Amino acid sequence: MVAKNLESAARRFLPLTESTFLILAALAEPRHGYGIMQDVEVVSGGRVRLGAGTLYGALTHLVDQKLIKRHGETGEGSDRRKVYALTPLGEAVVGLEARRLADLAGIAADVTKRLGGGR
Amino acid sequence: MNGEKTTKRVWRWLLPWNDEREERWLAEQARSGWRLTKVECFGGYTFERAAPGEVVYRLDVAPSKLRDRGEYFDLFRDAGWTLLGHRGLWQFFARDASDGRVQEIYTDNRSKIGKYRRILAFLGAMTAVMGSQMAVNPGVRRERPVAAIYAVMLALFLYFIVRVLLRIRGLKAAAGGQG
Repeated sequence: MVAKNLESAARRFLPLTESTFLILAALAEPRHGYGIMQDVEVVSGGRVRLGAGTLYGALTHLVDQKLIKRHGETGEGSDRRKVYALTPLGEAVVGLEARRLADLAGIAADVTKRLGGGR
Repeated sequence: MNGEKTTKRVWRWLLPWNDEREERWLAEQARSGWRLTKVECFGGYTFERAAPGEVVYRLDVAPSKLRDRGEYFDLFRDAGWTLLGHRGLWQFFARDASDGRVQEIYTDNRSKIGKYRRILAFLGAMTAVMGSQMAVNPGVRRERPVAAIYAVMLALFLYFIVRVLLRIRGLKAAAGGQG
């Protein structure tokens, strides 16, 4: 029952913007802000590069929405950084969105084939 | 070279909707051999002579929650930005243009608009304070010169608000519905 509630709560956040999806996906493991920035750039093959102000605003917003939470710290002294992690709600949201995108990717592959070869 | 100035101080107005013009002007200074080294809260800039080069300057309005400020500045530093100073609501950041990393602090329109909304919130609060002083403080109304100063300030703030609103509208139009 709890899981059901979580899923319906999560559904209200869909669809996600591309950058929100990539930020949440990066947080499949806890990371600090700059770690998220790097991961998003790597997994998108350099296509999505987030500015520091944009990422900071997105993180604040996602914390307010309770999709992510602050999750301790890493490093020592001036290298000490706050780490972010997904909440159960955030996990549900990114999971549902991943499934939705996978379904769409299937349709995309199909339509590409029907339109002849995908050039 | 002997006797040539190695530092200079410049004082400039900075109006809340002119941040990008200021960024371009600072970059031009760097291009002509003057690196910004210090920003004072009342509008003074200190420049030092340096080899002409490409420097990216960005002005941001930090989030108001003091609790989060450390994280904010850490993230900017990690991303390669050097904080040069504060002026009013503005934080001045700089980076070498040749480092090949992201040169914008806002990479989508929505978050960029957020910056101007924070300015708007500040201007709105100032206007509300002044407006309510004029309305309820009899001293303000009795003393002509004080009332005049308040009226001028209020008009100025309302003008600022309109200009910032127009800036936001421009950004929204540029986003073409995706913002």
